[in-house]
Amino acid sequence: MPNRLRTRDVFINCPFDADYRPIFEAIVFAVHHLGFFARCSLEEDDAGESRLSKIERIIEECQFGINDLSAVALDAATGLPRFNMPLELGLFLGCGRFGRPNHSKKRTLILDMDQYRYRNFISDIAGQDIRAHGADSERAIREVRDWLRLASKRSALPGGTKIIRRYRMFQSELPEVCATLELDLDRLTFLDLSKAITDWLRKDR
Amino acid sequence: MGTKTFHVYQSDGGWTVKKTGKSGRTFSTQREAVAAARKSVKKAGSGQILVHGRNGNLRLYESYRMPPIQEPRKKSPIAAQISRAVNKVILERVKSDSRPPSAQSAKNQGRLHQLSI
Repeated sequence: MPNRLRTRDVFINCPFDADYRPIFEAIVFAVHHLGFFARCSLEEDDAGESRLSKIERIIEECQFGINDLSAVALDAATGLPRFNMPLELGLFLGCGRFGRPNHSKKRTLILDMDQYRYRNFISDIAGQDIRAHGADSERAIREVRDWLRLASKRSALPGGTKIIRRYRMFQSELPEVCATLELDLDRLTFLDLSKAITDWLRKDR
Repeated sequence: MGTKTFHVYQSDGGWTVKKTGKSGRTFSTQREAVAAARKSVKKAGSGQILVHGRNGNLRLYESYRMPPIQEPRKKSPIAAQISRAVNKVILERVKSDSRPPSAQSAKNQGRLHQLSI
């Protein structure tokens, strides 16, 4: 089946737990503010398709990938590391290397808590675009913006300071949007969040 | 750079055209208000107009030389409700904000404050 590589689609591979939620929301906001489409495995709810198949399909379609390896530390409850993010990073890199000819255009940003921590657990990715956000959502916005500008070669993109200023305002109004909808802020799905972000961005600029 | 969105909504005295942080202008009809907003957008070189209905839906959305904001690839099952909720929150903010004091009035306020001490 022919696959179309979408030049404005950004695959977000990151933890989806509550602790990471602020950074996830900041990345989704930045991607939409820059005029791209944020995509991740949470956008699909087709029970008939395996989780890995969904991820593979989204990866195949996205020219850009943002992969956050913050959650590789040992889980407090199980004492085991989580491998989902490195696995999906590997799929993204592999698709770019072994996929169809146009897949060689894929570009990847790797984010982590610290700039050089990866050397201790996944040193083979040296040479890729690796940046640190230090668990700071505003720093994550700047890293995503600067990388996406270079990777997409689009010069007319808003600056990090502007995106952060608007993100703060959106964050201050999102609880009211949820209250109007009688929705729990923490239970907002990825599709709902994306819709709220794009609507808010379009109507307030 | 200031906001480029002109909100048009029904108010007590008619139809108001207002940008965030600016004072609004009220017209007797919606048609007049939209015409005034269009004129302002053209004069600015770019911008957009949102005409708000009473039920929270947008009656009209016009964009002039504004970069596109993409809709998500997958549609939320409650997209229409989210859209109305976002309209409501933004419009309430626009209605409630007041025009920031001009440099001259801020200076006067400072002087009054000093006198009262």
